[in-house]
Amino acid sequence: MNEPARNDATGLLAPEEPAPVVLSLSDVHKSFGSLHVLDGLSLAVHPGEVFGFLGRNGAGKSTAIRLLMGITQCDSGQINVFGESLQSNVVGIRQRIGYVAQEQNMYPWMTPKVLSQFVRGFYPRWDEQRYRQLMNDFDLPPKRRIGTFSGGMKAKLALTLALSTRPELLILDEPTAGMDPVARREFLDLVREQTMKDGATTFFSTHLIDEIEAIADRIGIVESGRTVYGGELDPLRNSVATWSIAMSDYIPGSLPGEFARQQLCVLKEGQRQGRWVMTLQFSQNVLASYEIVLNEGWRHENMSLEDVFIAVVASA
Amino acid sequence: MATVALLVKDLREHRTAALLLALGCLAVVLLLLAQNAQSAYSMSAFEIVRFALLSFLPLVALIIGNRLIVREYLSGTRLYVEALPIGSTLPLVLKYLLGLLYLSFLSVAMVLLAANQSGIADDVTRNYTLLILGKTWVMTILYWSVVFCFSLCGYLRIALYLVSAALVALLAYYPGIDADRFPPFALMDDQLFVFERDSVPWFDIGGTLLISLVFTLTGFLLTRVGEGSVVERLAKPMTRRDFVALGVLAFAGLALWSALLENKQREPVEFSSQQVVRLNDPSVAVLYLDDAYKESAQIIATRTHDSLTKLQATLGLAQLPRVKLALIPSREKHDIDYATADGVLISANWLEHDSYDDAILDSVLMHGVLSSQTGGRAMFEPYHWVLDGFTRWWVEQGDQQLDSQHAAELLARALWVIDRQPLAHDLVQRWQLTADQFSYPSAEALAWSAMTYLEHSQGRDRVIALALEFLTQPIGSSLLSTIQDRRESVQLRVERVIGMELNEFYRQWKQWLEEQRADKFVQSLRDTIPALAGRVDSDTDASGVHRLQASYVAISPATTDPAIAPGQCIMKHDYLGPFDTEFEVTDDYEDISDCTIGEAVHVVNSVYSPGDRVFIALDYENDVFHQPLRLHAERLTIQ
Repeated sequence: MNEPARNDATGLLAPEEPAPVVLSLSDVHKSFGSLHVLDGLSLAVHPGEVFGFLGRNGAGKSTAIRLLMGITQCDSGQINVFGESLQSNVVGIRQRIGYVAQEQNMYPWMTPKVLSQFVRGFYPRWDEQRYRQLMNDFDLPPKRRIGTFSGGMKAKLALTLALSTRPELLILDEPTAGMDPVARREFLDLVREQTMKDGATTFFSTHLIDEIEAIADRIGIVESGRTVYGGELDPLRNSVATWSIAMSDYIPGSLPGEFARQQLCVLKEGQRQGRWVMTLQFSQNVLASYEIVLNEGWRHENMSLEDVFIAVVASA
Repeated sequence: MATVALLVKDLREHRTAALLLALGCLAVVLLLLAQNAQSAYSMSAFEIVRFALLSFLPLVALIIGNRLIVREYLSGTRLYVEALPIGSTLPLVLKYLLGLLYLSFLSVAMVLLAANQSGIADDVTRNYTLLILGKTWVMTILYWSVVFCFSLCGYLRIALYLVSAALVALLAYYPGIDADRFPPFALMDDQLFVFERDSVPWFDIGGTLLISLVFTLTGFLLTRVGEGSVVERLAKPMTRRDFVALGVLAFAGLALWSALLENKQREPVEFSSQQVVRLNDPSVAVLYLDDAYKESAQIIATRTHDSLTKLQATLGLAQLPRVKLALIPSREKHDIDYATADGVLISANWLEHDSYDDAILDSVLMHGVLSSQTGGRAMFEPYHWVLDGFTRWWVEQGDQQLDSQHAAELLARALWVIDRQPLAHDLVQRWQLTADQFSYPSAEALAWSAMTYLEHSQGRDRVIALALEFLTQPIGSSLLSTIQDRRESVQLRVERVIGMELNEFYRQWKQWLEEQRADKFVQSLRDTIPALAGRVDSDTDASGVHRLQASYVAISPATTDPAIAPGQCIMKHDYLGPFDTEFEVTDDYEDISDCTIGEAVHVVNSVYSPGDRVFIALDYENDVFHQPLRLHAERLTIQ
């Protein structure tokens, strides 16, 4: 079997044809003192897609976004946005980005109306009509002080402002943190709806799998400052599987089936409830193209996307 | 657009506070200026600017820094701004400039208001105003730079302010450190800030700007260290532990300061000679230095002690300041020095005194005692006349029978003053001007006549009550006591004590004074004073030497005889500071001549240079009056 080309950064399969990218990070390193937050992070986001940026808390997502926004600078590596180096034109690039931060640090004394008057000064493509429309759609009171808004309302307002700049790229940094499930779902629907309408590229950072499942076309999983997966969801889901066998039948070193060693890696194995459980990750097309013949005693265990994520992240 | 948006945001956010703060500051400045204007000569209007720079302008800077910078960092709104499409330092640069602009506006407004309120005598020229303006602005830059830097230090800023304040206090007040010799303290020198008119203190300005630059750059660098992570970590509210640490720091600082102050306190100065007459309760020490003068020292010590004992009993004072008199036989008999830094120290020559001369000396002594007793408060301009009048009244008739000869001379002087300036109200309200124009002895005689009339019309107790109201209590150092002191105007306080409107009192007093002309002896004394006015000209002769010329003119048609005055006319002159603080010209520079009309009586090749300010007095002396009468006084800027 011919082995497909691998992405150097992820160790996983790369897209077959190079696609145009809106933003790309390649081998980006960032440290704060002795703490290495990003350790060779690489990823690419294509035009028009919703890219889910997935990772545990502390994996380096927010640092990566601060780098993308040009708020901080990387120690090494290359960051390109809209085809140009971020550092060469940070202000111009930011004007084309709509950004919703994790925490909404808007001025509490301002009303949404005053805030829009403030923000529009920074964005040449500000669309007042759209702002009003979105305010109306999101049912946000334009003359109430922002300090009195709930977390969900602030997030909606932030999204409204971001979308009103007619962004080519929308960056959302865990925007639903602290929201209740209903508000979260409502917010995600809005993001999906608006980005579909605009055709803008969306970079969505989160640690919640269901959010990614709901809106992402492609994902990047970051762990310990490195990308451990980059691609679509289904291949990921299809590349990871778990099998188990009764402890009494388990022969140490054995595999659930007849797999060639070079086509898989063991993400996780161990004893659980009297059974030996093994999670394996294959090349993306393995599970789809091979009919797996299991050895005697082994059985297939169902995995949710969250299980897959945890397994991938835990093995990184 | 981004710059405008940021500026508009800050203006919108802080406009109300900034407006109220500015109005409050300028109102305080205007009030102080108005009060200063009411108190003629008490200080230059530019002293108000210095006061503002030392007191509330730093506070304003602190409030502005807190609003513009600290709040932005503590609330995290900085994070919102830094994600906007702008350069990373632009928001902070704009905040720095905005704060500086606001404080500069306040300081410039203060200086211009002060310049506008300055009296003619202040001689406010363009260069002089620019000099004050420059010094004020440089200090403003320094304040804002410090506040800017410390505001970026988050929860550490209060500790930094406390430590800085302690350091400044240490440098400014600790003995052995002459802070006025180096910047920025030198810029705020209590004399030079206001009185320096010509020389630009480039070194001090440069030094202060350098310090400002260090603070400003430190602030900006702080925001760059760790890409702002240091500032971000500091931008947190103070924890309980921080408060405790701050409390310990403040307590330790206060303890240290108290210890330093304790060390600073010195023992009162005592005469170390054996030739001293000492009396206690109240403490009087008379230094005579030669046994030949022991008897006179004994007499004056006893007289002073008796008078002070009675004064203490009359005014109900628990303790009086220590009085020390030093005999200096080489002195002129009316050349009396007194200081009140450590009790009252008087140096004079009383060996050739008659009873009137003794009264002059005793009056100066009492003046010093009551001034010291009140911490200098008795000399507060609006009731300085009460102090002058009461001290002479006490000496003349407070503890003994009034001598008719003394009374006549004092009355003749007072009558001469009101003949020259009939508005008694003006004479009292602008007391230092009166003392300046007519000389202190005449002003004292006028004030004495007011007390004597009060005694005559309402009894001795009213005079005592007036003294109790104004001359016994020092003003407290707290804000509350200051407010209490000011809650009732001086006029109302006087009216409350004397039981009538002040203008009515002036009217009745003047009428009584006029009636004293009926006393032939008084009138005869009054008639010995020639109806002359003086005039001073300043020019340069053909050889370029500067000259002062003085002449006399008759102010009464009856005065035609060119040699009408049997006494002597004396021109006295001396250097003067740039502002009209109280000034008594000495006889170090004097020209004595006969009083003639219509020609230059005094022509002095002066020692003064262009730009010098000179006080010139034309006094008249005769054998009748113990002290000179001032015919003319002038403050002249040599051109």
